[in-house]
Amino acid sequence: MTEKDIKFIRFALAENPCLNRYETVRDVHSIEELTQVMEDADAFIIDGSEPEELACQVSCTIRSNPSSCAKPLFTTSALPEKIALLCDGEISSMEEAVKKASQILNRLNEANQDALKESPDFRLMAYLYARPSMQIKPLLEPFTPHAYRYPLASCLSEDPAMGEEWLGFLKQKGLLEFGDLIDRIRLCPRCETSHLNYIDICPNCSSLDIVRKEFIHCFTCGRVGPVEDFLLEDHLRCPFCHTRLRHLGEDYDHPMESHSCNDCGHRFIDPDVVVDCFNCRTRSDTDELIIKNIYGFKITNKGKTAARVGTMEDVYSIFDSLNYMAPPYFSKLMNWLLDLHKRYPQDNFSVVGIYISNLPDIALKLGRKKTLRLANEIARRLRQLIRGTDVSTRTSINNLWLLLPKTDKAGANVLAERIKNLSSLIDIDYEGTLEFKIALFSTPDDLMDADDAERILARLSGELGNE
Amino acid sequence: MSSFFAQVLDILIVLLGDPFSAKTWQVIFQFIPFVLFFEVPVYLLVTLGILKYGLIRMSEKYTQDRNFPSVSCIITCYSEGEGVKRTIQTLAEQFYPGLIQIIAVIDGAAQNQKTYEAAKSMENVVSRIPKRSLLVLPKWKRGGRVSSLNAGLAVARGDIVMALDGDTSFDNNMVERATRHFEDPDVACVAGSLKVRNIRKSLVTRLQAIEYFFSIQASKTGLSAFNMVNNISGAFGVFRKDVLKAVMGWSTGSAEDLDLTLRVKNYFGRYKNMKIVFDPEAVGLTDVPETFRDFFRQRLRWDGDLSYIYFRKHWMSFNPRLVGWKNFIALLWTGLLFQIVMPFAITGYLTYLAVAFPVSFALGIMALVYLFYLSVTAFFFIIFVLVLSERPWQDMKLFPWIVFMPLFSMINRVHNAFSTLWEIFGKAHQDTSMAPWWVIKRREKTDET
Repeated sequence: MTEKDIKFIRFALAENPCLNRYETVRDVHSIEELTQVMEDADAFIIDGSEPEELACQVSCTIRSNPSSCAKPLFTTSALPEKIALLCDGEISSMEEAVKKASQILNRLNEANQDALKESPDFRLMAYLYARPSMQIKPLLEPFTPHAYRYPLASCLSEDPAMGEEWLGFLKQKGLLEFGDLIDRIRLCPRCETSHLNYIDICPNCSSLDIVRKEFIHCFTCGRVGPVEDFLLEDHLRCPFCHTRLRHLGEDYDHPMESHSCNDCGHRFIDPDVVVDCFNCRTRSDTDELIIKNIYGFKITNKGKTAARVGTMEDVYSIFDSLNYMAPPYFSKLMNWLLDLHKRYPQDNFSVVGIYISNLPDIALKLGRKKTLRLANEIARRLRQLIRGTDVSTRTSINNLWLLLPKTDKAGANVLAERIKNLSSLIDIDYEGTLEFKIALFSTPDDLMDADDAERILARLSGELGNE
Repeated sequence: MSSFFAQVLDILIVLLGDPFSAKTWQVIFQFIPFVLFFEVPVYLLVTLGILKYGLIRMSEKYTQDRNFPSVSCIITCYSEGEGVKRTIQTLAEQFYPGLIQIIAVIDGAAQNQKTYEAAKSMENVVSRIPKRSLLVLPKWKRGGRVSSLNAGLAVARGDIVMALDGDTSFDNNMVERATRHFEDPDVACVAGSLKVRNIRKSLVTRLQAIEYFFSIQASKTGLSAFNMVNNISGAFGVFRKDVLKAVMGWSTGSAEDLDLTLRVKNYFGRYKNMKIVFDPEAVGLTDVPETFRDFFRQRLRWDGDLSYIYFRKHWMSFNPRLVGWKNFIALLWTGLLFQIVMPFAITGYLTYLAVAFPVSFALGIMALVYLFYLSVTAFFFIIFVLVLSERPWQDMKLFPWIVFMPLFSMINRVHNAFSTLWEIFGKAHQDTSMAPWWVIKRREKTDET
């Protein structure tokens, strides 16, 4: 896309916009107008700073809509953080806007457009892919129960209330990772709010009514007592030896400080500290509180791949044309063959695990169409290698499994060699070749005591090294 | 050896055998004019003043029924280190119902990081005490005491401003005692009483304690009764902020305390009722030099500074129209005669005694003079302690050490004469350690122009 073609929509908050008129800019003035035209726009500008409420609504509307959520969005003045976190910064001229927008749009075009429509996960990946150095930052909202939330995640997710959980889920999937550590907060162990009140109390009776008492040490007679025992109208006098104490450090000093409880009279050096929850009134010890680190989030390499290629799911599903069987049935069948082998030890079988370790990288390089074609080619070749009675399955982390009845170690090894040779047979537009990783299991050689399908597959997964 | 005994015998003969021989009297008469005309009037004046103070003080009671003006304490700190903590704490724990703003100005805070950190560490302690605040003001580049004081004055919020030393700590009723004088609208400044903290360290600290008692607590109380206080000590001065603003703060150069006192006194001619008060019960304790070597080095600076102020900077103050007749005479007397002329006179007299008379005779005369001074000193010491001292018991413990005082004073006088000469011919005040040389140098330039 050339810079001239970028179609801007400007939402003018004030009567007098800050930016000059510009031919490719379309002005809108209300949310309704915006929602009608925003599908066609390439980039957005919020012009002006007041009213803030409206600016907030506009930015949320743009970020919540699947078609516009990853598009560039600029402001013309410094807006509050809750809006700024949804925007791509301030601009002072249209030239600047065009330049910044084209950078983001060019990256955004590299992202897989079909996947964008599919799920919010991919929209967020595309959003981050288009802004490589960006982190999803938390926003401090002091009077909310959790104190921090992620406005961008709330806008892009399907359920705005679950923004943070969603980020956690994407992190688990390996698409996101922690960025900067922003803060550490403590939450009530019962209701998980951050509105806590730290109070010092009497360690004996837990009363709140404690006072600090300072002590005086008389240098003349060496006796120690609380200040009030020494205090006269305008001076200090030792109640024991009646010396007038004039000079701190010469006549007297403060040997210690202690507290006393007005309720039970208990004297102590350090009061206990407990925490009262303002919300649910639960009282906890400080070490019972939930400690929560607040991080920014950034995209991982896997996330970037997902943004460019979309899901790898359809690529891998091509392999399901190889006598596919759902994983539970596959396991059941394996267990049955195991039982059979125990009964008739000469009845052998083998399991082959296949993992193409560099397929995501290749996909990132080749793009979606070529990757699909490549997957088809691999599947065709594999089909030629296996027998009609062999079955396959695919587990969630994209390991491909083949179950070969009536095949012993030697037979399985032959197959493994042939699969490995595929990498040299398949011609791809990529520096390097397909990297097949293969793990083998054959009865009776690899059978261990108490083996079942689950254990065998777990063992082979480990060998494949797929994380 | 035998000749030594003969000499001692001679002395005894002069002293005991024939104390009133014509020759003895002749020499004593040569000495008497100094005592009679220079010292005795001052002793009498001071004694009268102290008695007056004692009478007034007896009828005075502590009262809450007065104003407690807000006070700013400017502490000038340099390399005191942990010592400033003590100064700050004694100020924070004053028995005073009014506000006290403590301003610790750290001169050359970049080099004196320890002092700066020590002062900083007190912020927590002070913030817990109601009506007290601590402001630590680091001056990263060294600028001298005067610049510290003026910087502190710039941020002082109190109606009363105290200029205090970072190595001085204060009695817990000091602020209450010092501020009560400002109930009288004519009082411009209050001088505080400096005493020695490290008395028990050595002979020289004990002797200085006695000297401080006489020259500060006693003589200033006496002079104060007649509004003739000669100097508001730089380590412990209390001022109305308006007065400081009127004289535009402290001025560059050494002995800025005497300089300021003289500049305030320059208003006395115009405002006849204006007063500078000394309060013997507003007490600050400070550490004094612990060896004779350090002591004489300190005095070399002080005495030199004094003549610098009188001769170089404040010739114009010797004018009855500016300072009023009474203070003009006091200035001449305690300033010029006591501080400058007397040391030379005594040095000259001693030289004359040594040159013109045989050793035994000279020593005999010296012994008489010694006995005279000893009895005078002892007599006044007892009276002053009884009337003045806020810690009579502690001060009385110094009494035995009085036997060294006449000798100590004499040595001081002679040393003073040399210090003054050194100042006049060596311009010693430029070597002062109280401010970096470039500040002093500038002062010289402005003096010339």
